[in-house]
Amino acid sequence: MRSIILAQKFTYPAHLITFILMLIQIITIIVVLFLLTRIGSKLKRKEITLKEAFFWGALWFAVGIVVLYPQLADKAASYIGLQTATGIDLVVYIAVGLAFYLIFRLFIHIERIERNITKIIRHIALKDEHDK
Amino acid sequence: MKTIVIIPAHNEARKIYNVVQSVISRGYDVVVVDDGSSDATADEARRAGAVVLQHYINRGYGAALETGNAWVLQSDYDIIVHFDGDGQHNPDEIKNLVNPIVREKVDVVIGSRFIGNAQSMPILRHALIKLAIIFTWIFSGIKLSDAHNGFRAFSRRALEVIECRQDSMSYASEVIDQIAEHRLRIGEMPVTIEYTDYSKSKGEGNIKKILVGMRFIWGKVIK
Repeated sequence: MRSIILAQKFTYPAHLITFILMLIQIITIIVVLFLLTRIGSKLKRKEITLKEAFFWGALWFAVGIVVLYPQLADKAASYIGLQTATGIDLVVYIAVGLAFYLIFRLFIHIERIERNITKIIRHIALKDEHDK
Repeated sequence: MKTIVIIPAHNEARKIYNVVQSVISRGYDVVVVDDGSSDATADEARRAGAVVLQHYINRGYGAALETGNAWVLQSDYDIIVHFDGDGQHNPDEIKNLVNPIVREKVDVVIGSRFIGNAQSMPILRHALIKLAIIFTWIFSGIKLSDAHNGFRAFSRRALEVIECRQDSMSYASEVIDQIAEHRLRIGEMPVTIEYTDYSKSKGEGNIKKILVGMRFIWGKVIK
């Protein structure tokens, strides 16, 4: 009797997997809702613009949807013409594309900051000599 | 015609006094732009008789030259010369360099190591420069015999229309690009560059030159 119970402890029956998946979905929903409320409060306190709130809000909402209905991602992938890629692949492609875009924007921002620093330094240099 | 020489310098306290003196003694006004040096470059330059503009922090070769240009445009000089602060340029050649501008034949003169006097240099460096020349020609349509030369002269009018925003060494490429864009008349003059152990040790590796080219392209892309 005891050995049968021990044997059962180390196998992974289907309903245990399903239970874990459901748990992940529930946790994800909670996290997404929490993040959405954080975005909402940041928007209220004017820490981010409407555009930014919309962007990140939509992003997390999409994450939530894909976690709840993974089949949607698969349908989207085949809809846009990807044949061997699954929904997850589509998510990864989009994530990578988005990451590159954001990095590019960062580069431009940094460049602008550097130029502004130089403008300030130049102003000081000229002013110092003029004031002599 | 009033001529002024702009000398950008970063940590050149050892040489700057002699460099400035050599230019002033030939009758030119000098403005040194101290680009965030941590040594006595500014003091030495002042001691030698130059006007000194000081960058609080290091911004780069191009930034220093642009600061010098901004200063010069606030006064009434007719001809502006760019001159290296490490002793690589020969002050006797300033006269030849500005000559075409004085005679009103061109708006900008860039020095060249490759007209007339053949200068010896490592083959790889020579090949790289040839590549840079082609590269410059593709982007600006101007074919020079020396793509990256810091010995330059401008008429006041030319400097007024040229707008350079590259802070680093890629300024050299941007200047040529601007010249093409504003359709200024450009000429070249033979100059000699003295590669001393001192200036070589300051590091002008081939890889750096390639990076400069890439930086220039990047600058154009995000304009």
